[in-house]
Amino acid sequence: MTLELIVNLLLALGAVFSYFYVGATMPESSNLELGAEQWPQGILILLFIALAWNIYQIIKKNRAAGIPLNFKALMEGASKFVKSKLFIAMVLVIVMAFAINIFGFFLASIFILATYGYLLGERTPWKLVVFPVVITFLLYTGFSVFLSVMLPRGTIPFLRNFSLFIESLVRL
Amino acid sequence: MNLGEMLSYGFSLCFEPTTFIMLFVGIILGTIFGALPGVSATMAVTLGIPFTYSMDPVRGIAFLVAIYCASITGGGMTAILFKIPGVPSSAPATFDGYPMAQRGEGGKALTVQLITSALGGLFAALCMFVLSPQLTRAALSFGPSELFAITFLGLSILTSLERDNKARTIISGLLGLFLACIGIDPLLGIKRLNYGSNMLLSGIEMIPVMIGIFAVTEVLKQTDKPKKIEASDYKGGGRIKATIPPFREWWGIKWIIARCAVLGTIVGILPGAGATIASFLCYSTEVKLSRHPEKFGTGIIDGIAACETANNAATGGSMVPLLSLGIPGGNAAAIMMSAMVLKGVQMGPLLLINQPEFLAATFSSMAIANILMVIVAIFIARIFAKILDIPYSVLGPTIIMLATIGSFATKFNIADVKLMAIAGIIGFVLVACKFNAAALILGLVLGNLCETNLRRAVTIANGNTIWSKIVDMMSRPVTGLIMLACFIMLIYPVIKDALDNRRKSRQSA
Repeated sequence: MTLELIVNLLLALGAVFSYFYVGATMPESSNLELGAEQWPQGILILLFIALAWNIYQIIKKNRAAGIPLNFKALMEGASKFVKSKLFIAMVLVIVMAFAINIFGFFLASIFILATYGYLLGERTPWKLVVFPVVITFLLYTGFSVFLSVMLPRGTIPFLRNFSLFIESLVRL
Repeated sequence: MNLGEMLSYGFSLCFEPTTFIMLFVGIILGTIFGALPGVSATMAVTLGIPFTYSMDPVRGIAFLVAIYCASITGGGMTAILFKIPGVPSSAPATFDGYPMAQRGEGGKALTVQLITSALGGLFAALCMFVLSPQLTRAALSFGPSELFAITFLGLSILTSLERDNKARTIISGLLGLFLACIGIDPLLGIKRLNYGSNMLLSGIEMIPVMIGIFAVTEVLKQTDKPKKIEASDYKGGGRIKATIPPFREWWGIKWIIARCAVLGTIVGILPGAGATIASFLCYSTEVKLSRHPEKFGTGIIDGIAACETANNAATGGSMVPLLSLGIPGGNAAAIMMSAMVLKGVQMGPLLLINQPEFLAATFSSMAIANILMVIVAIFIARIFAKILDIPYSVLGPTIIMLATIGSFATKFNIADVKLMAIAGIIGFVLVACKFNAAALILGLVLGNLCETNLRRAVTIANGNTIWSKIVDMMSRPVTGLIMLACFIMLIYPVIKDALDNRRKSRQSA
């Protein structure tokens, strides 16, 4: 409930900020047409009203159920969350989104497949090595060889050369 | 050439061994392309064009038509089995298809998806063949105000998408509409709501967000609370049995199929709309018209039938203005047009007079492709379903990688991968806070079209003030009628709930 309230409040704050931001950054529109700022502003007003209603409902339900706003429990929950599998999974997804460009598809894919597999409970060492390599090559063959999707090769020169070397092997 | 002669010519051509094999290969390729996330129907047709260089024009068209129809259907398979929509128009199939697959009714869901897709496609093909000139004339009389009203009709689902969570569903829909505003203003071409970031200049891409919210969020959920898929269909080597629902169930969705085939075809004809809008619009309309709207999203065949009939009907619909006026109804139709022009086909009103064999070939190949697709796609679905037998420690990370490549492949842009990752995590938080991911996607899909048409309609309407212009716009008969329907559809669930609550409180008192 507390997390829900915080998310709603953050969204409401974001809506207010965006309302003024779009008003300040867009040119003033004429009286005879809907300008670039009016449609988003209309949506933001409705969004703010709906969020305010939702926040009111959350508080009302909390009161009726006798649940106090417990920020201490939220902080404890947050520290538990940081140590949880889910948090590591979220970090992995973000890391992968950045790593694929820097390290190239091959290395990023093998790393993510092995790490995420471990996170999901796979403990057999050979499976953690063989499956990621096989899946990476299957994905590369399917998308790059057959569908001509140019997968990222990495931005670091020697890793890029490594990607090119692997690609040349696959395309043999 | 009269209609009968054209029909016999078209079918005799399609049953020639070479053409039939090309149709078969086109269906296999289209289904696989469609099932891969990030490979849209447009991309599938584009990838098919090089194969047609050495073919004669009529066979080339048959091959491309088969790819086009099958790619839309293929997208629904992964949407049902893995909650990854292969093409954007398959996103609504995840709402009911995935819960069915989790319950062990994956085979049934796939059968309904394939058969309703075929029915939608066949209906649209028939319309294309018989009613092309009339339908095109009617559709082209639609201006921006009518297009806005139709798009808004799709948004009017928001109050009934989730009965117990109206406020949160509306918030999710409005968030989607807001996200669709980010990037470049569609009419003025100026930066809007990019918050100083160059990454946001190109706007919030629909496909990465959709892949993130559906696929990544699902994998994150499984990471948090691992839940073994215990679907009976997947036991014994991940086999999919083509379970055909009993006649009683088909009879129950007959009007859904009929309505969505008509609506999907009409939306397909409208320029700028297409399969994605058609499938969302039909899903939302059926939720409204259903006697049990609360069951939508829990895994019922009605939901699958609505969106899958509509998106395949839209593929045929988009061919109508293409063939009779030379105006493509969507991106994939535009690619088809360029391929046909390359083959020497003269698009437009003279097609029927000078080259009737092309219209006959398109119709017959579309009809045969839609029937053949059911058989071929079931076999491909079985292969895809084998994947479900793989342990989740391998399948989960593979879905993440597929989602990554799928997001990247749409524009070869690494920013889309980042967007997909962020959307996945935000999607998880929103779901944890009981917001509705489907409503957010609905807003994102329809937002741009809704805004563009509203602003165009207001600009060309008569009046001295903005309000008088809006009144003038709404006073157009079709617009006024559709907007009235929207208003009733938006307000009715709210009033009904209020009355129900009142009745309950009176009874308890």
